[in-house]
Amino acid sequence: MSHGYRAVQWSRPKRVYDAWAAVGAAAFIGGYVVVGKALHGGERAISDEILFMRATGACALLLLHVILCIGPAARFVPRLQAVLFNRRHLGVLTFLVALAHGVVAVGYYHGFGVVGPLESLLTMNTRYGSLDGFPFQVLGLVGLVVLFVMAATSHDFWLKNLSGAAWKRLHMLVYPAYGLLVGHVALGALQEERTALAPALLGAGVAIVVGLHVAAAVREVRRDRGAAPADGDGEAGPWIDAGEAGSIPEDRARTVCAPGGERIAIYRHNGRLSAVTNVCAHQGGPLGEGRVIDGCITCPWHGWQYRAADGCAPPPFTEKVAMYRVRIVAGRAQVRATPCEPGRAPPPAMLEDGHGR
Amino acid sequence: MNRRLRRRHLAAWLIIGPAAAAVLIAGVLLQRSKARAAERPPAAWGARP
Repeated sequence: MSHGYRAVQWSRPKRVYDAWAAVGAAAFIGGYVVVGKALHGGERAISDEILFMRATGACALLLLHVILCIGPAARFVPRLQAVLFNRRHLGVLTFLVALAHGVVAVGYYHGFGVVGPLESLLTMNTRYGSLDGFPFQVLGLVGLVVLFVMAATSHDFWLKNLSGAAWKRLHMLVYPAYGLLVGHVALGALQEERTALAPALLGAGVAIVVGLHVAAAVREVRRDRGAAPADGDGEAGPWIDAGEAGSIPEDRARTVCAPGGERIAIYRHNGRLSAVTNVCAHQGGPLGEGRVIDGCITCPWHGWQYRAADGCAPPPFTEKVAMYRVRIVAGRAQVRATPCEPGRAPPPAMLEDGHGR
Repeated sequence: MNRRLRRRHLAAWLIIGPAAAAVLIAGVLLQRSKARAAERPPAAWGARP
């Protein structure tokens, strides 16, 4: 979390994460080239440039699959949220590897003509009406441009200046870019394959990415439909039943769904219950899946923090999230469906025995 | 993520998923037809196709 523009603050965990990612990508590319050379010897030999092109292309596509799987997979396996923390670093690495692939490909196939490489790429083949011989390189170019825009705007500086909603919309372009890159591979490199391995791998990748996203989304829609029953006795919206108050673990939350579909996270800290919106002000992360660290509710996605007492980020940060009134009736927690103004702290509900244990 | 964003994600994948699958299947079918054509022995001179 940052309150002004600063270059990426390289903490030790970030350095370790980036080092592992870079070493992994380099090992993949090196291994691909070595194995490729061993498999394609003699008459079937492939030039070094083409092998490098294939290796970087495969590496970038694999990284893109990993990036796209992390989000929905973390919905099912919370431990994966640790990988989600620096997902943008993986995105930048993916762009760099894809750029290396693109530069070598354009130089190799379009770098020796009378027109410029980019002009050659865009004008040499214009058979857009035919699947056979489709200009697949253009699909890759558009995908690469999207990856560049995302890598260039990945810093929180852009998130803050573009606004969260605009930034999120911009970064959702990775989904159509993924479709374009699948088309780039299916109509390009796949056409040179003579075995079923590459089509099977790409098919499995598409099935996993799409299946995970749809499964996670359907699960969330089901949770939305299972909104807690409301008790309409209040002027500021109904009270929502949130289950037994004492069973919420210390420094953790229980998430309930308001009748309008928005989610509320009810946290227990120092024997008190307080309720905040489930949507982090940073990137909309699920606050209810985080925990209280140093008295602050900590988002599991990127570690943004808000005081459990008033929903405000600790100084010098200025972000606020909306809180909800919460009460305990006959041992059950109840939360108001209508949020308070961000920064306004309703009184917490006290568990009867102090810590409710 | 709020509900609107969750629905937007689902809608995006319900469009992109089938589109990606369709282009992949088209690519595989095209590749297989090319592979079959390459395996076919060349027609002898004067032979009827």
